Amino acid sequence: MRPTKLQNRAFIFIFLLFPFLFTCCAALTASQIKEVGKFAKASQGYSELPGALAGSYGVLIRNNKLLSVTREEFGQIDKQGGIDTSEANDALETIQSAYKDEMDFTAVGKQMDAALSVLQIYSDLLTSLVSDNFAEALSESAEKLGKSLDKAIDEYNDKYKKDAPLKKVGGIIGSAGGLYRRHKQASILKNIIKEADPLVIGLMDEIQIIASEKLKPSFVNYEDNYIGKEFKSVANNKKQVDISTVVFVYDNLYKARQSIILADRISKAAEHYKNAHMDLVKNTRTRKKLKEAIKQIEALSKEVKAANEVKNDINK
Amino acid sequence: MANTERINALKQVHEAEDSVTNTLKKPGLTAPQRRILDELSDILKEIDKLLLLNELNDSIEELEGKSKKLKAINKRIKKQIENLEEVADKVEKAAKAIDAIVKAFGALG
Repeated sequence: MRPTKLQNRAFIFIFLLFPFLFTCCAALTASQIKEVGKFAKASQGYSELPGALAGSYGVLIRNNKLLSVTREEFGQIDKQGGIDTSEANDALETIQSAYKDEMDFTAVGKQMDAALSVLQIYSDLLTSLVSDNFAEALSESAEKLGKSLDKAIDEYNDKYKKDAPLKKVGGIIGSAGGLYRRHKQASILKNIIKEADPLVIGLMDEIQIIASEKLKPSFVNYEDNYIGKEFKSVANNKKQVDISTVVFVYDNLYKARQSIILADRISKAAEHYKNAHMDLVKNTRTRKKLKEAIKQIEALSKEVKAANEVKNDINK
Repeated sequence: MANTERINALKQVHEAEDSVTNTLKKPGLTAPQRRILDELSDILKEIDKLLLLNELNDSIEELEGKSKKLKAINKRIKKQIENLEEVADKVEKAAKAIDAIVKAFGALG
């Protein structure tokens, strides 16, 4: 039996309705997706902070070694009445080992950056999952779909509805394809956040150990036992110090103190990172309208921004 | 060596460095005494550096292990996103089917 005109229209109507059925049962609400987007944005620029801290320590111990060279006296007369070259030789070795120290810590910093780049990838992925344009191919498919349907409506109108043509709805179908996609996106988003949570917690715990228990004590130790001790050795041995030495010591003392602040900020941001992610998991378990923004995400955003400001100050 | 043991060793080296620094602050030391203390301080700094590098390298191993797992999740999710194209294709096929029906009715109408 051939379908009637009414059946034909009903078919188109159901087809148009199809994507909206998904909307009413979408995995997450707009407010929940918005918070995920805010988390992704807030966490940007965090992954390179621990590496920067390790790099900063390398520069500080390099500078300390360079300063230690100036405490020595060169060109002394040896027992045979010649020039004693041993101090100059040792000094050059010290300068060369200062280079190695810096490179060792730079390498460690880069390895940390590489290991933590996954956080950046994760953040980028979340950003793409909350975006409307995360897959060009899908947009093209939706567009093709819309055009195809508009063409069908055109033909239908041409045959049956010349007097009162049906409105073209290709645009709606295009966005309806998007709505279906959005439903799938939201569903993926919900699952990835839940699944990634234990790993995010593990990474943040390790970062806190690096910043608070490993590097911070070394920066604290630096002021007295490195640059402070070395300055006094130079002053006592040389009997006087020039302004460039004083400024050099001051700059390194400043850098060490800023690095302590950075270590604290990295650790605090790691705590906010963990909590913000846990809150995201908690707030995306069921589909609900979030009445207010997740506070931990705002705290994370502030802390990461503050930490990056300190990092830039150290590197200037 | 466990993490805590290394951290303790690092702490002890820092304490030894404190002790050298405090001794150097005292007046009355001869130049040779100062020289020996400076050398001792240099050696302690080398040990300090090696301990810290080992500590950080251990951390990198930890980080890499966890990162690897997170990367695997990311990869799986990207695959899921690619699979969404199939959904769009199916919907497109349905649209074509409607198109064909409309054409057929048009021909009959």
